[in-house]
Amino acid sequence: MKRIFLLLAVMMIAVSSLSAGVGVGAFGGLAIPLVQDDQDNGTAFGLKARLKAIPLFVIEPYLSFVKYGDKAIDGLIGGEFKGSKVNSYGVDALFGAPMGGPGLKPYFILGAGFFSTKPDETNKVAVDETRLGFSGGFGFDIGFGPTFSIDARGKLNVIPQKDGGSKKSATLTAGATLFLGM
Amino acid sequence: MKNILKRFGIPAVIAASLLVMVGCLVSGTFVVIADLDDHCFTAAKHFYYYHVDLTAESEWNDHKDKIDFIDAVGFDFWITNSSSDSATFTVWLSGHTATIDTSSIQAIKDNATEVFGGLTVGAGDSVHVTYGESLGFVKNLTALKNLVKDGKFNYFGLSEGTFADDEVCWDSAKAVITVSAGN
Repeated sequence: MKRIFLLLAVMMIAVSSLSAGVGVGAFGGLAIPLVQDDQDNGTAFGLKARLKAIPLFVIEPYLSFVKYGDKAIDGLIGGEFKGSKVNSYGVDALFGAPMGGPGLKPYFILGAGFFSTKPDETNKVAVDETRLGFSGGFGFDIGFGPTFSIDARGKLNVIPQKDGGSKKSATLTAGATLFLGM
Repeated sequence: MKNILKRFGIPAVIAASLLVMVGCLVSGTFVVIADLDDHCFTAAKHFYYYHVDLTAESEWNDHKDKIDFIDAVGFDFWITNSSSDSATFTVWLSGHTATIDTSSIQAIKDNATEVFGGLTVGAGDSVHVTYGESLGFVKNLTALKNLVKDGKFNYFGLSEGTFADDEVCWDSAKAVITVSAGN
C-alpha cells in the first residue's frame, strides 16, 4: 500500500510538472556504512529524475545501487564478511534546488524510499528483505547554462528494521543532470 | 549561507527530527567473536559438551541489554581426522536451562537442536572451515539465533564414524556472531 501511494504521488507530480520541464541524470560515489561492524566502504551509483513541484521545491525520484565492501574479521585467517548489496528506489524532496540555470545553488534533502538489502550469495544467514527507509542531507548544484548542471551531495540513510534498531549509512555522490523542455 | 539557513531552517529541522525519531541513531551492528574450546573425541564417547557463556565477552556485555536481533551466526575452525575412515561432524545446541542428558548420542539429539551439519572429513584429512564456508552448513537458523540471543547456551559437538581416541579433533574454533543492538 505504501509503495502504491508513493508511486501515485510521484506520477501526479510528474504529470503536473511536465510543462515546467524535467531533469534526468545519473550519480555515483561512495557508500559508507555507519555503525555496521560487518560492512566496509563501498560504491553507490544510480539514476534520477528531477521534477518541479513548487518554486524552490523539486522532487527527485531515484533508483540507487549500493555495494558495500568486504570486511575482514579480526583474528580470523581468511575470514571476512561479504559486503551486502542495497538496492533502493524512492523520492527525495530538494528544498532550494533549481530546475537548471547557471550558478552555485545549495539545497537540503529529505526523502523516503524502499531499501532492499541482499547479502552476498555466500552470506546465507543474513537479513534479506525490503524495508521503508528515510534519507536526509545536503547538496549543491553547479549549473553550466540553462540545461546542464553537476551536483555533489551527502545523504544519511536510515533503514528501520523489522525487529527493532536500524541500518544506517551515508552516501557521498557526484552527479550530472540534463534539463529537458526548459 | 545565512539566508539559506533562514529560508530552509524548517526543512532542515524536520529532516533531523525525522532521522532521529526513526533511526535510533545510537543503534548499530556489532560483531562478537567467542573462542570455543579445543576438543578431541574418544572412541567410546562421540560427543563433546560444554557450556558457552558469551556474557564473558566484552563486546557482548556492552550491548547485551539492548539486543534487537541476531543478524548472523557462523564459525571458523579446524577439524582433523587422522583415522582411516571418514567422520561426520555436527553441532547441536540447547538453551542454558534445558535438560542435559549425555547418556547417549540419541539423548543429546532429543534434547538439543542441530545448528551445524553436513560436514564430512575424509580419512587422514585436515579441514579449515572458514566463516563464509560455515554459513553453508548452518541449519535451523531461527532456532540458532534465538538460542544465541540469550548469551548462554549448551554446546554439543558430535562426530560419528569409526575412530580411536583422539583421532578426530577440532581446534582453534571461534563463533562469530553479528548482533544488531543499541549502544
